[in-house]
Amino acid sequence: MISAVWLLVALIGLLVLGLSAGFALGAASLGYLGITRGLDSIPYEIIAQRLVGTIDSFTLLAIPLFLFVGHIMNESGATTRLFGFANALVGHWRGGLAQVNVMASMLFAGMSGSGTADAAVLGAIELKAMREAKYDDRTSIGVTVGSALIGPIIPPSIAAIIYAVLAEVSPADVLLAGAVPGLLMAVSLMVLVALLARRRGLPSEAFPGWRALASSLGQAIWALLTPVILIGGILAGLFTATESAAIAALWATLVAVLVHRSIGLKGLARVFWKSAFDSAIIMFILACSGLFGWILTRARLPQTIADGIAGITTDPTLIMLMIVVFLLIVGCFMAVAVSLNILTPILVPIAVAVGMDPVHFGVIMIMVLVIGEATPPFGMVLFVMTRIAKVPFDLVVRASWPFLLTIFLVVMLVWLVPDLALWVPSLAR
Amino acid sequence: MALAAVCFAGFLLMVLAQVFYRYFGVSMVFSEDAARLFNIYAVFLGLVMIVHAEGDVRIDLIDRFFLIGKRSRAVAGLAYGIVMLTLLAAIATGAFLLMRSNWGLSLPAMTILHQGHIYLAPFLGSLLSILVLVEKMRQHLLVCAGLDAADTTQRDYE
Repeated sequence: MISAVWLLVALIGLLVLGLSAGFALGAASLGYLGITRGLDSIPYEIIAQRLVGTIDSFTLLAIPLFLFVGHIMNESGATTRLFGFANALVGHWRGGLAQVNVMASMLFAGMSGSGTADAAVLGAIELKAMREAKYDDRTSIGVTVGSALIGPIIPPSIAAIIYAVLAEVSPADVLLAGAVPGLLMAVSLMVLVALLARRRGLPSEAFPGWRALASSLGQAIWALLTPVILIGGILAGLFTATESAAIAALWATLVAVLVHRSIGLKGLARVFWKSAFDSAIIMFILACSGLFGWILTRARLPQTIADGIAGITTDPTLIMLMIVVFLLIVGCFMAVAVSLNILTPILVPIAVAVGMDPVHFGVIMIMVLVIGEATPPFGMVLFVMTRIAKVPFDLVVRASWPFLLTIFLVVMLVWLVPDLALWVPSLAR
Repeated sequence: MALAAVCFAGFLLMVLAQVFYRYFGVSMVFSEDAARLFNIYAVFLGLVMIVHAEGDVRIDLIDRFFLIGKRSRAVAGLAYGIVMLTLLAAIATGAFLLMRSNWGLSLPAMTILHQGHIYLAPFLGSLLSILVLVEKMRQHLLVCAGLDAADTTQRDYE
Protein backbone atom coordinates (compact mmCIF):
# COMPACT_ATOMS: atom_id res chain seq x y z
CA MET A 1 0.00 0.00 0.00
CA ILE A 2 2.71 2.44 1.02
CA SER A 3 4.43 1.74 -2.27
CA ALA A 4 1.29 2.70 -4.22
CA VAL A 5 1.43 6.13 -2.61
CA TRP A 6 5.06 6.29 -3.70
CA LEU A 7 3.88 5.56 -7.21
CA LEU A 8 1.82 8.76 -7.12
CA VAL A 9 4.67 10.70 -5.53
CA ALA A 10 7.06 9.46 -8.22
CA LEU A 11 4.62 10.44 -10.96
CA ILE A 12 4.13 13.96 -9.57
CA GLY A 13 7.89 14.27 -9.11
CA LEU A 14 8.61 13.28 -12.71
CA LEU A 15 5.91 15.66 -14.00
CA VAL A 16 7.20 18.61 -11.97
CA LEU A 17 10.76 17.88 -13.06
CA GLY A 18 9.51 18.41 -16.61
CA LEU A 19 9.34 14.94 -18.11
CA SER A 20 6.56 14.84 -20.69
CA ALA A 21 3.25 13.45 -19.46
CA GLY A 22 3.09 10.15 -21.34
CA PHE A 23 6.63 9.18 -20.46
CA ALA A 24 6.17 10.24 -16.82
CA LEU A 25 3.14 7.97 -16.48
CA GLY A 26 4.92 5.09 -18.15
CA ALA A 27 8.21 5.53 -16.30
CA ALA A 28 6.54 5.78 -12.89
CA SER A 29 4.63 2.56 -13.63
CA LEU A 30 7.75 0.80 -14.87
CA GLY A 31 9.68 1.89 -11.79
CA TYR A 32 6.89 0.64 -9.54
CA LEU A 33 6.82 -2.75 -11.25
CA GLY A 34 10.59 -2.96 -11.05
CA ILE A 35 10.64 -2.25 -7.32
CA THR A 36 7.69 -4.38 -6.26
CA ARG A 37 8.44 -7.40 -8.45
CA GLY A 38 12.20 -7.29 -8.68
CA LEU A 39 14.18 -6.15 -11.68
CA ASP A 40 14.43 -9.59 -13.30
CA SER A 41 10.70 -10.26 -13.26
CA ILE A 42 9.27 -7.09 -14.76
CA PRO A 43 6.23 -8.25 -16.77
CA TYR A 44 7.20 -6.71 -20.11
CA GLU A 45 4.36 -8.44 -21.92
CA ILE A 46 1.81 -6.84 -19.60
CA ILE A 47 3.36 -3.42 -20.15
CA ALA A 48 3.05 -3.67 -23.93
CA GLN A 49 -0.35 -5.34 -23.67
CA ARG A 50 -1.76 -2.59 -21.41
CA LEU A 51 -0.41 0.15 -23.69
CA VAL A 52 -1.91 -1.33 -26.83
CA GLY A 53 -5.05 -2.65 -25.13
CA THR A 54 -5.98 0.79 -23.83
CA ILE A 55 -5.95 2.51 -27.21
CA ASP A 56 -7.32 -0.48 -29.13
CA SER A 57 -10.92 0.68 -28.73
CA PHE A 58 -13.50 1.75 -31.25
CA THR A 59 -14.79 4.51 -28.94
CA LEU A 60 -11.40 6.20 -28.75
CA LEU A 61 -11.27 6.43 -32.53
CA ALA A 62 -13.52 9.49 -32.11
CA ILE A 63 -10.55 11.48 -30.78
CA PRO A 64 -8.43 11.53 -33.98
CA LEU A 65 -11.62 12.15 -35.97
CA PHE A 66 -12.58 15.20 -33.87
CA LEU A 67 -9.04 16.54 -34.22
CA PHE A 68 -9.27 16.03 -37.97
CA VAL A 69 -12.56 17.95 -38.23
CA GLY A 70 -11.12 20.89 -36.26
CA HIS A 71 -7.95 21.01 -38.36
CA ILE A 72 -9.74 20.81 -41.68
CA MET A 73 -12.11 23.63 -40.61
CA ASN A 74 -9.13 25.84 -39.85
CA GLU A 75 -7.17 24.84 -42.94
CA SER A 76 -10.11 25.41 -45.31
CA GLY A 77 -10.95 28.87 -43.98
CA ALA A 78 -14.25 27.80 -42.42
CA THR A 79 -13.12 29.52 -39.22
CA THR A 80 -12.95 32.89 -40.99
CA ARG A 81 -16.39 32.37 -42.54
CA LEU A 82 -17.85 31.55 -39.10
CA PHE A 83 -16.35 34.75 -37.73
CA GLY A 84 -17.89 36.71 -40.61
CA PHE A 85 -21.32 35.26 -39.87
CA ALA A 86 -21.05 35.95 -36.13
CA ASN A 87 -19.96 39.50 -36.96
CA ALA A 88 -22.99 40.17 -39.16
CA LEU A 89 -25.25 38.62 -36.53
CA VAL A 90 -24.21 40.32 -33.27
CA GLY A 91 -21.56 42.86 -34.31
CA HIS A 92 -24.01 45.78 -34.01
CA TRP A 93 -24.66 45.12 -30.32
CA ARG A 94 -22.84 47.25 -27.77
CA GLY A 95 -19.35 45.83 -27.32
CA GLY A 96 -20.03 44.24 -30.71
CA LEU A 97 -16.76 42.50 -31.46
CA ALA A 98 -16.56 41.10 -27.92
CA GLN A 99 -19.99 39.53 -28.45
CA VAL A 100 -18.88 38.31 -31.86
CA ASN A 101 -15.88 36.73 -30.16
CA VAL A 102 -18.09 34.66 -27.83
CA MET A 103 -20.55 33.81 -30.61
CA ALA A 104 -17.85 32.67 -33.06
CA SER A 105 -16.14 30.57 -30.40
CA MET A 106 -19.44 28.95 -29.49
CA LEU A 107 -20.16 28.09 -33.13
CA PHE A 108 -16.65 26.79 -33.62
CA ALA A 109 -16.98 24.73 -30.41
CA GLY A 110 -19.54 22.69 -32.33
CA MET A 111 -16.76 21.56 -34.67
CA SER A 112 -13.66 21.47 -32.54
CA GLY A 113 -12.95 19.36 -29.51
CA SER A 114 -10.23 21.30 -27.74
CA GLY A 115 -9.78 24.72 -26.16
CA THR A 116 -6.22 25.31 -27.27
CA ALA A 117 -6.92 24.63 -30.94
CA ASP A 118 -9.68 27.22 -30.67
CA ALA A 119 -7.49 29.80 -28.96
CA ALA A 120 -4.74 29.42 -31.52
CA VAL A 121 -6.55 29.92 -34.83
CA LEU A 122 -9.87 31.55 -34.08
CA GLY A 123 -8.33 33.52 -31.18
CA ALA A 124 -5.81 35.08 -33.54
CA ILE A 125 -8.59 36.20 -35.92
CA GLU A 126 -10.74 37.54 -33.06
CA LEU A 127 -7.91 39.39 -31.39
CA LYS A 128 -6.76 41.00 -34.63
CA ALA A 129 -10.28 42.27 -35.42
CA MET A 130 -10.74 43.68 -31.91
CA ARG A 131 -7.39 45.43 -31.91
CA GLU A 132 -8.09 47.01 -35.28
CA ALA A 133 -11.39 48.32 -33.89
CA LYS A 134 -9.45 49.90 -30.98
CA TYR A 135 -10.73 47.68 -28.19
CA ASP A 136 -8.55 47.79 -25.07
CA ASP A 137 -6.31 44.73 -24.67
CA ARG A 138 -7.86 43.83 -21.32
CA THR A 139 -11.28 43.26 -22.88
CA SER A 140 -10.04 41.65 -26.09
CA ILE A 141 -7.67 39.20 -24.42
CA GLY A 142 -10.01 38.38 -21.55
CA VAL A 143 -12.97 37.56 -23.75
CA THR A 144 -10.83 35.52 -26.16
CA VAL A 145 -9.46 33.42 -23.29
CA GLY A 146 -12.91 32.99 -21.76
CA SER A 147 -14.62 32.03 -25.00
CA ALA A 148 -11.85 29.57 -25.90
CA LEU A 149 -12.90 27.48 -22.92
CA ILE A 150 -16.29 26.75 -24.49
CA GLY A 151 -14.59 24.51 -27.08
CA PRO A 152 -14.00 21.41 -24.96
CA ILE A 153 -17.48 21.55 -23.36
CA ILE A 154 -19.82 21.73 -26.37
CA PRO A 155 -19.70 18.48 -28.38
CA PRO A 156 -17.51 17.36 -30.07
CA SER A 157 -15.21 17.08 -27.10
CA ILE A 158 -12.04 15.08 -26.78
CA ALA A 159 -12.18 15.39 -23.00
CA ALA A 160 -15.67 13.82 -22.97
CA ILE A 161 -14.43 10.79 -24.92
CA ILE A 162 -11.46 10.28 -22.61
CA TYR A 163 -13.69 10.58 -19.55
CA ALA A 164 -16.33 8.23 -20.97
CA VAL A 165 -13.79 5.52 -21.73
CA LEU A 166 -12.07 5.72 -18.33
CA ALA A 167 -15.29 6.08 -16.32
CA GLU A 168 -16.95 3.33 -18.37
CA VAL A 169 -20.05 5.36 -19.24
CA SER A 170 -21.64 5.96 -22.63
CA PRO A 171 -19.53 8.39 -24.70
CA ALA A 172 -22.68 9.66 -26.42
CA ASP A 173 -24.17 10.60 -23.02
CA VAL A 174 -21.09 12.51 -21.86
CA LEU A 175 -20.84 14.30 -25.21
CA LEU A 176 -24.49 15.36 -25.22
CA ALA A 177 -24.39 16.31 -21.53
CA GLY A 178 -21.94 19.09 -22.40
CA ALA A 179 -24.31 20.80 -24.84
CA VAL A 180 -26.45 22.85 -22.45
CA PRO A 181 -23.62 23.73 -20.01
CA GLY A 182 -21.56 24.88 -23.01
CA LEU A 183 -24.38 27.09 -24.29
CA LEU A 184 -24.85 28.45 -20.76
CA MET A 185 -21.16 29.35 -20.67
CA ALA A 186 -21.57 31.30 -23.90
CA VAL A 187 -24.72 33.07 -22.71
CA SER A 188 -23.17 34.02 -19.36
CA LEU A 189 -20.05 35.35 -21.11
CA MET A 190 -22.28 37.44 -23.39
CA VAL A 191 -24.10 38.85 -20.36
CA LEU A 192 -20.75 39.71 -18.78
CA VAL A 193 -19.63 41.39 -22.01
CA ALA A 194 -22.86 43.42 -22.09
CA LEU A 195 -22.18 44.61 -18.51
CA LEU A 196 -18.53 45.41 -19.26
CA ALA A 197 -19.50 47.17 -22.48
CA ARG A 198 -21.43 49.78 -20.47
CA ARG A 199 -18.72 50.20 -17.85
CA ARG A 200 -15.78 50.29 -20.25
CA GLY A 201 -17.64 52.16 -23.00
CA LEU A 202 -16.96 49.60 -25.71
CA PRO A 203 -17.73 50.51 -29.34
CA SER A 204 -20.11 48.66 -31.66
CA GLU A 205 -20.16 47.97 -35.39
CA ALA A 206 -22.76 49.23 -37.81
CA PHE A 207 -25.46 46.70 -38.72
CA PRO A 208 -24.47 45.50 -42.20
CA GLY A 209 -28.08 44.94 -43.31
CA TRP A 210 -30.14 41.81 -43.78
CA ARG A 211 -28.70 41.06 -47.19
CA ALA A 212 -25.15 40.97 -45.84
CA LEU A 213 -26.32 38.81 -42.94
CA ALA A 214 -27.95 36.37 -45.35
CA SER A 215 -24.87 36.23 -47.56
CA SER A 216 -22.55 35.59 -44.59
CA LEU A 217 -24.92 32.86 -43.46
CA GLY A 218 -24.74 31.38 -46.94
CA GLN A 219 -20.95 31.37 -46.63
CA ALA A 220 -20.97 29.72 -43.24
CA ILE A 221 -23.96 27.40 -43.56
CA TRP A 222 -21.96 24.36 -44.75
CA ALA A 223 -19.65 24.56 -41.78
CA LEU A 224 -22.57 25.26 -39.46
CA LEU A 225 -24.21 22.02 -40.56
CA THR A 226 -21.30 20.00 -39.13
CA PRO A 227 -22.44 20.18 -35.49
CA VAL A 228 -26.03 19.63 -36.64
CA ILE A 229 -25.02 16.36 -38.31
CA LEU A 230 -22.79 15.37 -35.43
CA ILE A 231 -25.13 16.08 -32.54
CA GLY A 232 -28.30 15.33 -34.50
CA GLY A 233 -26.97 11.93 -35.54
CA ILE A 234 -26.21 10.94 -31.96
CA LEU A 235 -29.46 12.42 -30.61
CA ALA A 236 -31.58 10.61 -33.16
CA GLY A 237 -29.85 7.38 -32.21
CA LEU A 238 -28.60 6.99 -35.79
CA PHE A 239 -24.91 6.90 -34.98
CA THR A 240 -22.61 6.08 -32.11
CA ALA A 241 -20.19 8.83 -31.05
CA THR A 242 -17.38 7.41 -33.21
CA GLU A 243 -19.58 6.93 -36.26
CA SER A 244 -20.98 10.44 -36.07
CA ALA A 245 -17.40 11.73 -35.77
CA ALA A 246 -16.54 9.81 -38.94
CA ILE A 247 -19.55 11.25 -40.79
CA ALA A 248 -18.61 14.75 -39.61
CA ALA A 249 -15.06 14.21 -40.85
CA LEU A 250 -16.35 13.09 -44.24
CA TRP A 251 -18.75 16.06 -44.39
CA ALA A 252 -16.04 18.56 -43.45
CA THR A 253 -13.74 17.12 -46.12
CA LEU A 254 -16.45 17.21 -48.80
CA VAL A 255 -17.36 20.81 -47.93
CA ALA A 256 -13.73 21.92 -47.98
CA VAL A 257 -12.87 20.12 -51.22
CA LEU A 258 -16.09 20.36 -53.25
CA VAL A 259 -18.06 23.39 -52.00
CA HIS A 260 -15.40 25.91 -51.06
CA ARG A 261 -12.60 24.40 -53.12
CA SER A 262 -10.30 26.03 -50.61
CA ILE A 263 -8.10 23.07 -49.86
CA GLY A 264 -5.73 21.25 -52.18
CA LEU A 265 -3.97 17.93 -51.91
CA LYS A 266 -1.11 19.62 -50.12
CA GLY A 267 -3.44 21.21 -47.58
CA LEU A 268 -5.19 17.91 -47.06
CA ALA A 269 -1.86 16.17 -46.46
CA ARG A 270 -1.00 18.86 -43.91
CA VAL A 271 -4.32 18.24 -42.14
CA PHE A 272 -3.61 14.49 -42.02
CA TRP A 273 -0.15 15.16 -40.65
CA LYS A 274 -1.29 17.60 -37.96
CA SER A 275 -4.15 15.35 -36.89
CA ALA A 276 -1.86 12.33 -36.70
CA PHE A 277 0.64 14.29 -34.59
CA ASP A 278 -1.93 15.70 -32.15
CA SER A 279 -3.73 12.40 -31.89
CA ALA A 280 -0.48 10.52 -31.22
CA ILE A 281 0.30 12.89 -28.33
CA ILE A 282 -3.09 12.31 -26.68
CA MET A 283 -3.18 8.59 -27.46
CA PHE A 284 0.30 7.94 -26.10
CA ILE A 285 -0.65 9.62 -22.82
CA LEU A 286 -3.82 7.51 -22.81
CA ALA A 287 -1.85 4.34 -23.50
CA CYS A 288 0.58 5.01 -20.66
CA SER A 289 -2.22 5.98 -18.31
CA GLY A 290 -3.83 2.62 -19.13
CA LEU A 291 -0.77 0.94 -17.65
CA PHE A 292 -0.74 3.37 -14.74
CA GLY A 293 -4.44 2.86 -14.05
CA TRP A 294 -3.99 -0.91 -14.10
CA ILE A 295 -1.34 -0.63 -11.38
CA LEU A 296 -3.45 1.82 -9.35
CA THR A 297 -6.39 -0.56 -9.41
CA ARG A 298 -4.27 -3.57 -8.44
CA ALA A 299 -2.79 -1.56 -5.56
CA ARG A 300 -6.37 -0.66 -4.54
CA LEU A 301 -5.42 3.01 -4.36
CA PRO A 302 -8.83 4.45 -5.36
CA GLN A 303 -10.50 2.53 -2.50
CA THR A 304 -7.84 3.66 -0.06
CA ILE A 305 -8.33 7.30 -1.00
CA ALA A 306 -12.11 6.89 -0.86
CA ASP A 307 -11.81 5.36 2.62
CA GLY A 308 -9.54 8.21 3.66
CA ILE A 309 -12.09 10.78 2.53
CA ALA A 310 -14.90 8.85 4.21
CA GLY A 311 -12.84 9.09 7.41
CA ILE A 312 -12.86 12.91 7.20
CA THR A 313 -16.48 13.47 6.29
CA THR A 314 -19.48 11.61 4.92
CA ASP A 315 -21.44 14.67 3.86
CA PRO A 316 -21.91 14.36 0.06
CA THR A 317 -21.91 18.13 -0.53
CA LEU A 318 -18.71 18.58 1.44
CA ILE A 319 -17.04 15.70 -0.39
CA MET A 320 -18.03 17.15 -3.77
CA LEU A 321 -16.80 20.56 -2.68
CA MET A 322 -13.46 19.01 -1.71
CA ILE A 323 -13.26 17.30 -5.09
CA VAL A 324 -14.04 20.53 -6.97
CA VAL A 325 -11.42 22.51 -5.04
CA PHE A 326 -8.93 19.69 -5.56
CA LEU A 327 -9.66 19.66 -9.32
CA LEU A 328 -9.27 23.43 -9.50
CA ILE A 329 -5.83 23.15 -7.91
CA VAL A 330 -4.81 20.23 -10.13
CA GLY A 331 -6.12 22.09 -13.18
CA CYS A 332 -3.77 24.97 -12.43
CA PHE A 333 -0.83 22.63 -12.96
CA MET A 334 -1.82 19.97 -15.46
CA ALA A 335 -3.36 19.78 -18.93
CA VAL A 336 -6.95 18.53 -19.08
CA ALA A 337 -6.09 15.30 -20.91
CA VAL A 338 -3.43 14.41 -18.35
CA SER A 339 -5.49 15.14 -15.24
CA LEU A 340 -8.48 13.31 -16.71
CA ASN A 341 -6.31 10.28 -17.37
CA ILE A 342 -4.88 10.16 -13.88
CA LEU A 343 -7.88 11.22 -11.83
CA THR A 344 -10.95 9.75 -13.55
CA PRO A 345 -10.34 6.20 -12.23
CA ILE A 346 -9.72 7.59 -8.73
CA LEU A 347 -12.53 10.14 -8.44
CA VAL A 348 -15.44 8.51 -10.26
CA PRO A 349 -15.94 5.72 -7.67
CA ILE A 350 -15.95 8.37 -4.93
CA ALA A 351 -18.47 10.55 -6.76
CA VAL A 352 -20.73 7.58 -7.46
CA ALA A 353 -20.49 6.53 -3.80
CA VAL A 354 -21.88 9.91 -2.69
CA GLY A 355 -24.77 9.53 -5.12
CA MET A 356 -23.62 11.57 -8.14
CA ASP A 357 -24.55 10.47 -11.63
CA PRO A 358 -21.23 9.62 -13.35
CA VAL A 359 -22.25 11.52 -16.51
CA HIS A 360 -23.16 14.62 -14.47
CA PHE A 361 -19.91 14.32 -12.54
CA GLY A 362 -18.01 14.01 -15.82
CA VAL A 363 -19.35 17.32 -17.11
CA ILE A 364 -18.44 19.09 -13.86
CA MET A 365 -15.00 17.48 -13.78
CA ILE A 366 -14.27 18.47 -17.38
CA MET A 367 -15.54 22.05 -16.86
CA VAL A 368 -13.46 22.59 -13.71
CA LEU A 369 -10.33 21.14 -15.33
CA VAL A 370 -10.92 23.25 -18.44
CA ILE A 371 -10.95 26.41 -16.30
CA GLY A 372 -7.48 25.25 -15.22
CA GLU A 373 -6.34 25.64 -18.84
CA ALA A 374 -6.64 29.39 -18.29
CA THR A 375 -5.26 29.75 -14.76
CA PRO A 376 -1.66 30.47 -13.82
CA PRO A 377 0.98 29.13 -13.41
CA PHE A 378 0.36 26.57 -16.20
CA GLY A 379 -2.52 27.07 -18.57
CA MET A 380 -2.18 26.13 -22.22
CA VAL A 381 -4.73 28.76 -23.26
CA LEU A 382 -2.81 31.45 -21.37
CA PHE A 383 0.45 30.44 -23.02
CA VAL A 384 -1.13 30.44 -26.47
CA MET A 385 -2.69 33.87 -25.82
CA THR A 386 0.57 35.32 -24.54
CA ARG A 387 2.20 34.13 -27.74
CA ILE A 388 -0.38 35.35 -30.26
CA ALA A 389 -1.15 38.65 -28.46
CA LYS A 390 2.55 39.35 -27.82
CA VAL A 391 1.82 40.80 -24.35
CA PRO A 392 3.26 39.94 -20.92
CA PHE A 393 1.89 36.78 -19.28
CA ASP A 394 0.56 38.63 -16.22
CA LEU A 395 -1.53 40.95 -18.41
CA VAL A 396 -3.29 37.93 -19.91
CA VAL A 397 -3.90 36.57 -16.41
CA ARG A 398 -5.33 39.86 -15.14
CA ALA A 399 -7.49 40.28 -18.23
CA SER A 400 -8.98 36.79 -17.91
CA TRP A 401 -10.16 36.49 -14.32
CA PRO A 402 -13.64 38.12 -14.60
CA PHE A 403 -14.40 35.74 -17.46
CA LEU A 404 -13.10 32.71 -15.55
CA LEU A 405 -15.17 33.66 -12.51
CA THR A 406 -18.28 33.81 -14.70
CA ILE A 407 -17.57 30.35 -16.08
CA PHE A 408 -17.02 29.04 -12.56
CA LEU A 409 -20.48 30.34 -11.60
CA VAL A 410 -21.89 28.31 -14.50
CA VAL A 411 -20.08 25.22 -13.13
CA MET A 412 -21.73 25.76 -9.75
CA LEU A 413 -25.10 26.14 -11.46
CA VAL A 414 -24.62 22.90 -13.40
CA TRP A 415 -23.63 21.17 -10.17
CA LEU A 416 -26.76 22.37 -8.34
CA VAL A 417 -29.13 21.66 -11.24
CA PRO A 418 -28.10 18.24 -12.63
CA ASP A 419 -30.79 18.37 -15.31
CA LEU A 420 -28.84 21.07 -17.13
CA ALA A 421 -26.36 18.33 -18.00
CA LEU A 422 -28.59 15.27 -17.99
CA TRP A 423 -31.59 16.54 -19.93
CA VAL A 424 -30.15 16.29 -23.45
CA PRO A 425 -28.74 12.75 -23.01
CA SER A 426 -32.15 11.68 -21.68
CA LEU A 427 -33.69 12.80 -24.98
CA ALA A 428 -31.48 10.40 -26.89
CA ARG A 429 -32.87 7.37 -25.08
CA MET B 1 7.33 10.76 -40.66
CA ALA B 2 4.97 10.72 -43.59
CA LEU B 3 4.09 7.14 -42.68
CA ALA B 4 2.07 8.29 -39.69
CA ALA B 5 0.03 10.59 -41.92
CA VAL B 6 -0.55 7.73 -44.36
CA CYS B 7 -1.69 5.50 -41.49
CA PHE B 8 -4.03 8.26 -40.41
CA ALA B 9 -5.54 8.52 -43.86
CA GLY B 10 -5.93 4.75 -43.98
CA PHE B 11 -7.52 4.82 -40.59
CA LEU B 12 -10.02 7.47 -41.71
CA LEU B 13 -10.99 5.40 -44.75
CA MET B 14 -11.49 2.33 -42.61
CA VAL B 15 -13.74 4.09 -40.10
CA LEU B 16 -15.86 5.36 -42.98
CA ALA B 17 -15.90 1.88 -44.46
CA GLN B 18 -17.12 0.62 -41.10
CA VAL B 19 -19.98 3.12 -41.07
CA PHE B 20 -20.99 2.22 -44.61
CA TYR B 21 -20.80 -1.43 -43.68
CA ARG B 22 -23.24 -0.89 -40.84
CA TYR B 23 -25.73 1.25 -42.70
CA PHE B 24 -25.63 0.02 -46.23
CA GLY B 25 -24.88 -3.61 -45.68
CA VAL B 26 -21.79 -3.47 -47.87
CA SER B 27 -19.72 -6.41 -46.80
CA MET B 28 -16.61 -5.00 -45.16
CA VAL B 29 -16.40 -6.89 -41.90
CA PHE B 30 -12.68 -6.28 -41.72
CA SER B 31 -13.06 -2.50 -41.55
CA GLU B 32 -13.45 -2.10 -37.78
CA ASP B 33 -10.41 -4.24 -37.06
CA ALA B 34 -8.50 -2.44 -39.79
CA ALA B 35 -9.45 0.99 -38.43
CA ARG B 36 -8.22 0.07 -34.96
CA LEU B 37 -5.05 -1.43 -36.37
CA PHE B 38 -4.33 1.67 -38.47
CA ASN B 39 -4.95 3.84 -35.44
CA ILE B 40 -2.45 1.89 -33.35
CA TYR B 41 0.14 2.19 -36.11
CA ALA B 42 -0.57 5.93 -36.48
CA VAL B 43 -0.09 6.40 -32.72
CA PHE B 44 3.16 4.52 -32.38
CA LEU B 45 4.67 5.95 -35.55
CA GLY B 46 3.43 9.33 -34.34
CA LEU B 47 5.38 8.67 -31.15
CA VAL B 48 8.55 8.81 -33.23
CA MET B 49 7.52 12.28 -34.46
CA ILE B 50 6.73 13.39 -30.91
CA VAL B 51 10.12 12.28 -29.64
CA HIS B 52 11.73 13.99 -32.61
CA ALA B 53 9.84 17.29 -32.22
CA GLU B 54 9.71 17.17 -28.39
CA GLY B 55 6.02 17.98 -28.85
CA ASP B 56 4.61 16.15 -25.85
CA VAL B 57 2.63 17.89 -23.09
CA ARG B 58 4.87 18.80 -20.19
CA ILE B 59 5.25 21.18 -17.27
CA ASP B 60 8.10 23.59 -17.95
CA LEU B 61 8.47 25.09 -14.46
CA ILE B 62 12.08 23.95 -14.13
CA ASP B 63 13.01 25.31 -17.57
CA ARG B 64 11.68 28.73 -16.75
CA PHE B 65 13.49 29.18 -13.48
CA PHE B 66 16.56 26.99 -13.43
CA LEU B 67 17.57 25.73 -16.83
CA ILE B 68 18.61 28.98 -18.38
CA GLY B 69 22.02 28.04 -19.63
CA LYS B 70 22.57 25.93 -22.68
CA ARG B 71 24.61 23.35 -20.82
CA SER B 72 22.14 22.86 -17.97
CA ARG B 73 19.42 22.27 -20.55
CA ALA B 74 21.55 19.66 -22.22
CA VAL B 75 22.10 17.91 -18.88
CA ALA B 76 18.35 17.90 -18.24
CA GLY B 77 17.80 16.63 -21.78
CA LEU B 78 20.16 13.76 -21.06
CA ALA B 79 18.37 12.93 -17.81
CA TYR B 80 14.95 12.89 -19.53
CA GLY B 81 16.52 10.87 -22.32
CA ILE B 82 17.69 8.14 -19.93
CA VAL B 83 14.23 7.79 -18.37
CA MET B 84 12.52 7.78 -21.77
CA LEU B 85 15.02 5.30 -23.16
CA THR B 86 14.37 2.89 -20.28
CA LEU B 87 10.63 3.03 -20.84
CA LEU B 88 10.93 2.67 -24.62
CA ALA B 89 13.24 -0.32 -24.17
CA ALA B 90 10.70 -1.95 -21.85
CA ILE B 91 7.92 -1.34 -24.36
CA ALA B 92 10.01 -2.71 -27.21
CA THR B 93 10.88 -5.83 -25.19
CA GLY B 94 7.29 -6.47 -24.19
CA ALA B 95 6.00 -5.83 -27.69
CA PHE B 96 8.61 -8.19 -29.12
CA LEU B 97 7.68 -10.98 -26.68
CA LEU B 98 3.98 -10.55 -27.43
CA MET B 99 4.65 -10.37 -31.13
CA ARG B 100 6.50 -13.69 -30.99
CA SER B 101 3.87 -15.46 -28.92
CA ASN B 102 0.92 -14.14 -30.94
CA TRP B 103 2.36 -14.48 -34.40
CA GLY B 104 0.34 -17.57 -35.27
CA LEU B 105 -3.05 -16.32 -34.09
CA SER B 106 -5.07 -14.68 -36.81
CA LEU B 107 -7.40 -11.76 -36.13
CA PRO B 108 -11.10 -12.65 -35.94
CA ALA B 109 -12.12 -10.71 -39.03
CA MET B 110 -8.89 -10.34 -40.96
CA THR B 111 -7.33 -13.67 -41.66
CA ILE B 112 -4.41 -12.26 -43.63
CA LEU B 113 -3.10 -10.48 -40.56
CA HIS B 114 -2.08 -12.00 -37.26
CA GLN B 115 -2.42 -10.77 -33.67
CA GLY B 116 1.31 -10.38 -33.89
CA HIS B 117 0.92 -7.59 -36.40
CA ILE B 118 -0.76 -5.47 -33.71
CA TYR B 119 2.30 -5.64 -31.52
CA LEU B 120 4.58 -4.96 -34.43
CA ALA B 121 3.36 -1.33 -34.13
CA PRO B 122 4.63 -0.58 -30.60
CA PHE B 123 7.76 -2.61 -31.36
CA LEU B 124 8.60 -0.61 -34.48
CA GLY B 125 7.49 2.67 -32.92
CA SER B 126 9.55 2.33 -29.77
CA LEU B 127 12.55 1.03 -31.68
CA LEU B 128 12.53 3.98 -34.09
CA SER B 129 11.95 6.37 -31.17
CA ILE B 130 15.00 4.90 -29.44
CA LEU B 131 17.08 5.65 -32.53
CA VAL B 132 15.82 9.25 -32.67
CA LEU B 133 16.35 9.66 -28.94
CA VAL B 134 19.91 8.31 -29.05
CA GLU B 135 20.78 10.84 -31.73
CA LYS B 136 19.27 13.63 -29.61
CA MET B 137 21.20 12.47 -26.55
CA ARG B 138 24.40 12.38 -28.55
CA GLN B 139 23.90 16.06 -29.35
CA HIS B 140 23.18 16.83 -25.70
CA LEU B 141 26.38 14.99 -24.73
CA LEU B 142 28.38 17.06 -27.18
CA VAL B 143 26.97 20.23 -25.62
CA CYS B 144 27.82 18.97 -22.13
CA ALA B 145 31.34 18.26 -23.18
CA GLY B 146 31.52 21.70 -24.75
CA LEU B 147 32.23 20.14 -28.11
CA ASP B 148 29.22 21.36 -30.00
CA ALA B 149 29.90 23.10 -33.21
CA ALA B 150 27.68 26.13 -32.66
CA ASP B 151 26.15 26.09 -36.12
CA THR B 152 24.99 22.46 -36.14
CA THR B 153 23.09 22.30 -32.86
CA GLN B 154 22.13 25.89 -32.15
CA ARG B 155 18.75 25.38 -33.82
CA ASP B 156 17.65 23.02 -31.05
CA TYR B 157 18.16 25.51 -28.29
CA GLU B 158 16.40 28.49 -29.67
